[in-house]
Amino acid sequence: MDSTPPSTGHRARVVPRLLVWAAALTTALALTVGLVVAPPDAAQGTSQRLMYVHVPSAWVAYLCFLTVLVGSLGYVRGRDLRWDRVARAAAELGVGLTALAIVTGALWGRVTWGVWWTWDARLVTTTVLLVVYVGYLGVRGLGEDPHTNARRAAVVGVLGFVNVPLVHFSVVWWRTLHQPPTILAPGTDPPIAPIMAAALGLAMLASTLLAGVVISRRVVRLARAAERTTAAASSPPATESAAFHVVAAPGRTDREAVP
Amino acid sequence: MSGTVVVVIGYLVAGLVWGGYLWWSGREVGDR
Repeated sequence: MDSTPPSTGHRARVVPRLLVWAAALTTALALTVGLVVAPPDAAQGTSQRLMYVHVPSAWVAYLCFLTVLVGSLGYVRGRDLRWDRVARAAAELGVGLTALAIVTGALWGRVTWGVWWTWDARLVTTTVLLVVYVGYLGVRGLGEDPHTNARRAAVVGVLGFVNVPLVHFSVVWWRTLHQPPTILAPGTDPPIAPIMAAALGLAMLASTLLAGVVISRRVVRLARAAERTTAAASSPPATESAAFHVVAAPGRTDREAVP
Repeated sequence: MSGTVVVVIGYLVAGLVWGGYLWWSGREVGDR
Protein backbone atom coordinates (compact mmCIF):
# COMPACT_ATOMS: atom_id res chain seq x y z
CA MET A 1 0.00 0.00 0.00
CA ASP A 2 1.25 3.47 -0.81
CA SER A 3 1.99 5.19 2.48
CA THR A 4 1.31 8.65 1.04
CA PRO A 5 -1.98 9.92 2.45
CA PRO A 6 -4.57 11.49 0.19
CA SER A 7 -3.60 15.10 -0.50
CA THR A 8 -5.68 17.88 0.96
CA GLY A 9 -3.77 20.57 -0.92
CA HIS A 10 -5.31 23.24 -3.11
CA ARG A 11 -5.78 20.96 -6.10
CA ALA A 12 -7.50 18.29 -4.03
CA ARG A 13 -9.80 20.85 -2.48
CA VAL A 14 -11.53 21.51 -5.73
CA VAL A 15 -13.70 18.55 -6.63
CA PRO A 16 -13.12 18.05 -10.35
CA ARG A 17 -16.03 19.45 -12.29
CA LEU A 18 -15.72 16.48 -14.58
CA LEU A 19 -16.66 14.10 -11.76
CA VAL A 20 -19.68 16.21 -10.78
CA TRP A 21 -20.91 16.45 -14.36
CA ALA A 22 -20.31 12.74 -14.97
CA ALA A 23 -22.28 11.89 -11.82
CA ALA A 24 -25.16 14.20 -12.79
CA LEU A 25 -25.41 12.95 -16.36
CA THR A 26 -25.08 9.30 -15.39
CA THR A 27 -27.73 9.70 -12.71
CA ALA A 28 -30.15 11.29 -15.20
CA LEU A 29 -29.47 8.51 -17.70
CA ALA A 30 -29.84 5.79 -15.06
CA LEU A 31 -33.19 7.20 -13.92
CA THR A 32 -34.44 7.40 -17.51
CA VAL A 33 -33.40 3.87 -18.41
CA GLY A 34 -34.51 2.38 -15.09
CA LEU A 35 -37.90 4.07 -14.86
CA VAL A 36 -38.87 4.56 -18.52
CA VAL A 37 -36.88 2.48 -20.98
CA ALA A 38 -36.52 -0.84 -19.15
CA PRO A 39 -39.75 -2.85 -19.06
CA PRO A 40 -41.34 -4.08 -15.82
CA ASP A 41 -40.28 -7.55 -14.77
CA ALA A 42 -42.51 -10.32 -16.12
CA ALA A 43 -42.92 -11.94 -12.69
CA GLN A 44 -42.36 -9.12 -10.18
CA GLY A 45 -43.97 -6.28 -12.10
CA THR A 46 -42.86 -2.70 -11.65
CA SER A 47 -41.62 -3.24 -8.07
CA GLN A 48 -38.49 -4.78 -9.63
CA ARG A 49 -37.41 -1.22 -10.50
CA LEU A 50 -36.51 -0.85 -6.82
CA MET A 51 -33.53 -3.09 -7.62
CA TYR A 52 -32.00 -0.16 -9.52
CA VAL A 53 -31.75 1.60 -6.15
CA HIS A 54 -31.37 -1.36 -3.79
CA VAL A 55 -28.45 -3.12 -5.48
CA PRO A 56 -26.35 0.03 -6.16
CA SER A 57 -26.89 1.16 -2.55
CA ALA A 58 -25.49 -2.12 -1.26
CA TRP A 59 -22.66 -2.05 -3.82
CA VAL A 60 -21.52 1.47 -2.93
CA ALA A 61 -21.85 0.66 0.78
CA TYR A 62 -19.42 -2.21 0.21
CA LEU A 63 -17.06 0.21 -1.55
CA CYS A 64 -17.39 2.70 1.29
CA PHE A 65 -16.50 0.09 3.89
CA LEU A 66 -13.55 -1.04 1.76
CA THR A 67 -12.45 2.60 1.77
CA VAL A 68 -12.82 2.63 5.56
CA LEU A 69 -10.56 -0.41 5.72
CA VAL A 70 -7.92 1.22 3.50
CA GLY A 71 -8.14 4.52 5.39
CA SER A 72 -7.88 2.74 8.73
CA LEU A 73 -4.82 0.76 7.67
CA GLY A 74 -3.30 3.94 6.24
CA TYR A 75 -3.79 5.74 9.53
CA VAL A 76 -2.39 2.86 11.59
CA ARG A 77 0.67 2.75 9.36
CA GLY A 78 1.56 6.44 9.34
CA ARG A 79 -0.55 8.04 12.11
CA ASP A 80 -1.64 10.63 9.55
CA LEU A 81 -5.11 12.06 10.15
CA ARG A 82 -5.68 12.57 6.43
CA TRP A 83 -6.21 8.82 6.10
CA ASP A 84 -8.58 8.94 9.05
CA ARG A 85 -10.66 11.67 7.43
CA VAL A 86 -11.08 9.57 4.28
CA ALA A 87 -12.19 6.61 6.40
CA ARG A 88 -14.62 8.78 8.36
CA ALA A 89 -16.21 10.29 5.25
CA ALA A 90 -16.61 6.88 3.66
CA ALA A 91 -18.14 5.38 6.80
CA GLU A 92 -20.67 8.21 7.06
CA LEU A 93 -21.89 7.56 3.52
CA GLY A 94 -21.71 3.78 3.88
CA VAL A 95 -24.02 3.85 6.90
CA GLY A 96 -26.66 5.85 5.03
CA LEU A 97 -26.49 3.62 1.98
CA THR A 98 -26.71 0.45 4.02
CA ALA A 99 -29.85 1.84 5.64
CA LEU A 100 -31.17 2.77 2.19
CA ALA A 101 -30.54 -0.79 0.97
CA ILE A 102 -32.46 -2.18 3.95
CA VAL A 103 -35.40 0.22 3.44
CA THR A 104 -35.70 -0.39 -0.30
CA GLY A 105 -35.34 -4.12 0.31
CA ALA A 106 -38.17 -3.98 2.82
CA LEU A 107 -40.40 -2.11 0.35
CA TRP A 108 -39.65 -4.68 -2.35
CA GLY A 109 -40.10 -7.56 0.10
CA ARG A 110 -43.52 -6.29 1.18
CA VAL A 111 -44.79 -6.58 -2.41
CA THR A 112 -42.87 -9.69 -3.49
CA TRP A 113 -42.54 -11.76 -0.31
CA GLY A 114 -45.55 -10.36 1.51
CA VAL A 115 -43.49 -9.24 4.52
CA TRP A 116 -41.43 -6.18 5.41
CA TRP A 117 -38.85 -8.22 7.29
CA THR A 118 -37.89 -11.83 7.84
CA TRP A 119 -35.07 -13.40 9.83
CA ASP A 120 -33.10 -14.19 6.71
CA ALA A 121 -29.30 -14.50 6.75
CA ARG A 122 -28.78 -11.64 4.25
CA LEU A 123 -31.14 -9.30 6.10
CA VAL A 124 -29.67 -10.10 9.50
CA THR A 125 -26.02 -9.83 8.44
CA THR A 126 -26.75 -6.54 6.65
CA THR A 127 -28.36 -5.16 9.79
CA VAL A 128 -25.35 -6.27 11.84
CA LEU A 129 -23.13 -4.51 9.28
CA LEU A 130 -25.13 -1.32 9.77
CA VAL A 131 -24.85 -1.55 13.56
CA VAL A 132 -21.08 -2.15 13.37
CA TYR A 133 -20.46 0.96 11.28
CA VAL A 134 -22.83 3.09 13.35
CA GLY A 135 -20.61 1.93 16.20
CA TYR A 136 -17.55 2.95 14.18
CA LEU A 137 -18.93 6.48 13.95
CA GLY A 138 -19.90 6.42 17.62
CA VAL A 139 -16.41 5.41 18.71
CA ARG A 140 -15.08 8.54 17.05
CA GLY A 141 -16.93 10.72 19.53
CA LEU A 142 -15.72 9.06 22.72
CA GLY A 143 -12.63 11.21 23.24
CA GLU A 144 -11.32 14.70 22.59
CA ASP A 145 -7.94 13.79 21.12
CA PRO A 146 -8.30 13.24 17.35
CA HIS A 147 -5.48 10.69 17.31
CA THR A 148 -7.08 8.67 20.10
CA ASN A 149 -10.39 8.73 18.25
CA ALA A 150 -8.71 7.80 14.97
CA ARG A 151 -6.83 4.91 16.56
CA ARG A 152 -9.96 3.49 18.19
CA ALA A 153 -11.95 3.94 14.99
CA ALA A 154 -9.24 2.27 12.92
CA VAL A 155 -9.51 -0.87 15.05
CA VAL A 156 -13.26 -1.01 14.41
CA GLY A 157 -12.74 -0.09 10.76
CA VAL A 158 -10.37 -3.01 10.19
CA LEU A 159 -12.24 -5.62 12.23
CA GLY A 160 -15.64 -4.45 11.00
CA PHE A 161 -14.78 -5.16 7.38
CA VAL A 162 -15.01 -8.88 8.15
CA ASN A 163 -18.77 -8.35 7.96
CA VAL A 164 -18.71 -7.32 4.29
CA PRO A 165 -17.84 -10.73 2.76
CA LEU A 166 -20.12 -12.28 5.37
CA VAL A 167 -23.02 -10.20 4.02
CA HIS A 168 -22.17 -10.81 0.37
CA PHE A 169 -21.73 -14.57 0.62
CA SER A 170 -24.53 -15.13 3.14
CA VAL A 171 -26.88 -16.01 0.27
CA VAL A 172 -24.40 -18.63 -0.94
CA TRP A 173 -23.31 -20.08 2.38
CA TRP A 174 -26.76 -20.38 3.93
CA ARG A 175 -30.22 -21.32 2.68
CA THR A 176 -31.94 -17.95 2.47
CA LEU A 177 -35.14 -16.41 1.23
CA HIS A 178 -33.07 -13.63 -0.34
CA GLN A 179 -32.08 -14.63 -3.85
CA PRO A 180 -28.41 -15.40 -4.66
CA PRO A 181 -26.24 -12.88 -6.53
CA THR A 182 -27.51 -11.93 -9.99
CA ILE A 183 -24.66 -10.00 -11.57
CA LEU A 184 -21.84 -11.54 -9.55
CA ALA A 185 -23.23 -15.06 -9.70
CA PRO A 186 -20.16 -17.32 -9.75
CA GLY A 187 -19.64 -19.32 -12.93
CA THR A 188 -22.84 -18.42 -14.76
CA ASP A 189 -24.08 -15.82 -17.19
CA PRO A 190 -26.11 -13.15 -15.41
CA PRO A 191 -29.76 -14.28 -15.57
CA ILE A 192 -31.02 -10.83 -16.48
CA ALA A 193 -32.30 -9.21 -19.69
CA PRO A 194 -29.73 -6.94 -21.41
CA ILE A 195 -31.81 -3.77 -21.01
CA MET A 196 -32.30 -4.50 -17.30
CA ALA A 197 -28.59 -5.22 -16.97
CA ALA A 198 -27.91 -1.86 -18.64
CA ALA A 199 -30.28 -0.07 -16.24
CA LEU A 200 -28.62 -1.75 -13.27
CA GLY A 201 -25.13 -1.05 -14.57
CA LEU A 202 -25.92 2.62 -15.13
CA ALA A 203 -27.43 2.92 -11.66
CA MET A 204 -24.34 1.33 -10.10
CA LEU A 205 -22.05 3.64 -12.06
CA ALA A 206 -24.12 6.71 -11.12
CA SER A 207 -24.10 5.74 -7.44
CA THR A 208 -20.36 5.15 -7.49
CA LEU A 209 -19.72 8.56 -9.09
CA LEU A 210 -22.08 10.27 -6.64
CA ALA A 211 -20.22 8.60 -3.78
CA GLY A 212 -16.96 9.97 -5.18
CA VAL A 213 -18.43 13.47 -5.17
CA VAL A 214 -19.86 13.18 -1.65
CA ILE A 215 -16.76 11.66 -0.07
CA SER A 216 -14.30 14.04 -1.71
CA ARG A 217 -16.39 17.08 -0.71
CA ARG A 218 -16.66 15.80 2.84
CA VAL A 219 -12.93 15.08 3.11
CA VAL A 220 -12.13 18.62 1.95
CA ARG A 221 -14.48 20.11 4.59
CA LEU A 222 -13.05 17.90 7.34
CA ALA A 223 -9.52 18.95 6.34
CA ARG A 224 -10.49 22.63 6.47
CA ALA A 225 -12.02 22.15 9.92
CA ALA A 226 -8.85 20.45 11.13
CA GLU A 227 -6.75 23.32 9.79
CA ARG A 228 -8.96 25.84 11.61
CA THR A 229 -8.60 23.89 14.84
CA THR A 230 -4.83 23.73 14.45
CA ALA A 231 -4.62 27.45 13.65
CA ALA A 232 -6.74 28.31 16.70
CA ALA A 233 -4.54 26.14 18.91
CA SER A 234 -1.38 27.76 17.57
CA SER A 235 -2.49 31.39 17.96
CA PRO A 236 -1.30 33.28 21.09
CA PRO A 237 -3.76 34.21 23.84
CA ALA A 238 -5.62 37.47 23.29
CA THR A 239 -4.53 39.22 26.52
CA GLU A 240 -1.78 38.91 29.10
CA SER A 241 -4.36 38.78 31.83
CA ALA A 242 -5.63 35.39 30.71
CA ALA A 243 -5.45 32.90 33.54
CA PHE A 244 -4.36 30.11 31.26
CA HIS A 245 -2.22 29.90 28.15
CA VAL A 246 -3.14 27.50 25.39
CA VAL A 247 -0.26 25.61 23.86
CA ALA A 248 -0.18 23.06 21.12
CA ALA A 249 2.30 20.38 20.26
CA PRO A 250 3.65 20.59 16.69
CA GLY A 251 1.50 18.62 14.31
CA ARG A 252 -1.18 17.92 16.85
CA THR A 253 -4.62 19.46 17.00
CA ASP A 254 -5.30 18.69 20.63
CA ARG A 255 -4.80 21.47 23.17
CA GLU A 256 -3.46 21.52 26.67
CA ALA A 257 -4.15 24.24 29.21
CA VAL A 258 -1.24 25.14 31.44
CA PRO A 259 -1.13 27.71 34.23
CA MET B 1 -49.54 -1.79 -1.39
CA SER B 2 -48.96 -1.76 -5.13
CA GLY B 3 -45.66 -2.02 -6.94
CA THR B 4 -45.97 1.53 -8.25
CA VAL B 5 -46.43 2.92 -4.74
CA VAL B 6 -43.36 1.17 -3.34
CA VAL B 7 -41.29 2.28 -6.34
CA VAL B 8 -42.36 5.90 -5.82
CA ILE B 9 -41.60 5.69 -2.08
CA GLY B 10 -38.27 3.94 -2.68
CA TYR B 11 -37.05 6.47 -5.24
CA LEU B 12 -38.20 9.38 -3.05
CA VAL B 13 -36.29 7.97 -0.08
CA ALA B 14 -33.23 7.43 -2.28
CA GLY B 15 -33.50 11.01 -3.54
CA LEU B 16 -33.68 12.32 0.00
CA VAL B 17 -30.70 10.25 1.12
CA TRP B 18 -28.46 11.22 -1.80
CA GLY B 19 -29.68 14.82 -1.81
CA GLY B 20 -29.09 15.04 1.90
CA TYR B 21 -25.55 13.71 1.60
CA LEU B 22 -24.75 16.09 -1.29
CA TRP B 23 -25.97 19.05 0.77
CA TRP B 24 -24.35 17.87 3.99
CA SER B 25 -20.97 17.11 2.40
CA GLY B 26 -20.79 20.72 1.19
CA ARG B 27 -21.22 22.24 4.64
CA GLU B 28 -18.28 23.60 6.60
CA VAL B 29 -18.11 21.63 9.81
CA GLY B 30 -16.23 21.38 13.05
CA ASP B 31 -13.67 18.64 13.40
CA ARG B 32 -13.20 16.21 16.24
